[in-house]
Amino acid sequence: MTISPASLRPWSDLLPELLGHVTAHLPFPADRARLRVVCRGWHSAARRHVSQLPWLVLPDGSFVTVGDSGTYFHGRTTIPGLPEDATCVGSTDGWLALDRTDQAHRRTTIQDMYSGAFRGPSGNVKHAHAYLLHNPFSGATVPLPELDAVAGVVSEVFEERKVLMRSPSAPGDDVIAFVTNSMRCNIILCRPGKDFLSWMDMDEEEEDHNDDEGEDDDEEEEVPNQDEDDGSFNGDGMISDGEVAVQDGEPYEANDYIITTSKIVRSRLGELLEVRRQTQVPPFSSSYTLEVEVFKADLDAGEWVLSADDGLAEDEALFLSRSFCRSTHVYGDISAGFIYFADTDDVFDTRCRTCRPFRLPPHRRLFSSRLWIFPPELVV
Amino acid sequence: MASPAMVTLISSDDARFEVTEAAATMSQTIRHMIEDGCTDGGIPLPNVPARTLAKVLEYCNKHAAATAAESSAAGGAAAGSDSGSSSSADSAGKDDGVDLASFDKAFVEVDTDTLYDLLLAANYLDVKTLLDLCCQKVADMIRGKTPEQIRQTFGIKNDFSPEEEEKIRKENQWAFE
Repeated sequence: MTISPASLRPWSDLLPELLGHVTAHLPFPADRARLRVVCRGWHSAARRHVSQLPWLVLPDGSFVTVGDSGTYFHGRTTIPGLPEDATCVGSTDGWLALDRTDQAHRRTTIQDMYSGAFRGPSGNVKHAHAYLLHNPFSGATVPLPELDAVAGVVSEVFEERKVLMRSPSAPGDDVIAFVTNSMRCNIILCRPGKDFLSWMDMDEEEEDHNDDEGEDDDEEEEVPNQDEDDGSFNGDGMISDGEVAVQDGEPYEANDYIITTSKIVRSRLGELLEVRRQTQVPPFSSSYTLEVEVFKADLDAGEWVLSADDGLAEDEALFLSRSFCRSTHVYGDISAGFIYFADTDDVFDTRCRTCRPFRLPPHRRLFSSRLWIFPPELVV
Repeated sequence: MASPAMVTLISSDDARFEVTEAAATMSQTIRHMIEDGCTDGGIPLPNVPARTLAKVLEYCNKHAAATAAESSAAGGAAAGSDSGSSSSADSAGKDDGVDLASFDKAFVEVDTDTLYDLLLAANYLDVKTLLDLCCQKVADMIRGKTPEQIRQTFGIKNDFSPEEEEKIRKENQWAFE
């Protein structure tokens, strides 16, 4: 590359919107934080033109930044430190849960060379898996050998449905919950560097794992052991559907092309919220949100109560995806009272009760299982 | 096929450039001028000097030609008259894609002055893909660098007082650790 001794052009006076375009190609907040220290011109340009919204990460490690300056970062090298064989299977705040495996169809579609059909998972074929947590913003990595011990060799139909951390600031001291589609091992709790606890082997290993984590009501959901063959998953006993579809009467009338789903998320004030949503699923185009209602859990009465107001705190917004749901305070380009849906690319305004698509950059095809990931908040 | 329509562009320093309409209309600004019928005697571009305009047109010619080749390849495949020729056109199209990516990469391997001029010209002429390419290049030159290294790269004078700079750094202290 040619490096001129000193540029004669007034880079410090670059049009603010052009600097905004440049920052759209610099998604990492650390680069943006350093950019705004360069000179007064760039500092004020950053204030007006740096947009901040969470990213959507795809299973193969590609990601998109959303909003007007949204950009598609394609390929595995866009997130530094991501291993070549990693599939992104979950997220919590700024952390990604990675599954390192040679089972490539988890992160990409594999088409049969002759028939052209998409290759589906087989219950009879097993692959080795190694799990870890990775924070792309700090570069920190936490291996999870405890989880490898339980789900290190699984069949192709095994799926990680959710991976959640209790306190993402310090995963080393944390409890990490894996929800899978296996009937025999539906929930696995693991503490990095310490031990694991899964529904499957609770009976046998109770003495080894004194549950100091306070698993209060877990017994009710315990799935009895079906056989002794621990840690080996074939196609049997897999839970087929990940989403809970609510099918009650009005206003959710039965219709072939309208489905109702719900997500549960902890509000900023610590209340339990249920976001119930009607989605229109047209036969030949992509789904979109029709109606959204927010319910609050009334723990004393043991029921969900429809919020009279919009259900969200004044400076609160919700980000919902299949794997990870989060309530956040409003900052950057996040709008108060908005609920962002990763699956339909739309955002519902609970104040005006309207829904609009959020801007995604052009791309060939996005996977349906996208994860919200929250870069560190930047002061601009 | 008839010979392609040509237009004349006039740079700020009165140099005249004869280009195909397909290449010129990669610029939305020029496209609008042509649609408004302001092409008699050439299209004046008072914000773009000849040196920069020549470079922008090199980009537009290359991309317009690649687009034309791609659409004729697609047309051949759709007609399906001869499977042999359409598959060879397909592979030619793919080569073009690789070719275009390496052309783009080499195209922005320029000094910072030229990059600045290209950035402004791409913005004024509204050539979306060129603007993206230039912004990506500037971003690549900023990524991972300290503020001092960025200033050196672009010849920017630090106009903050030490106290001001310290205060702004502190606001996002984590990014400097």
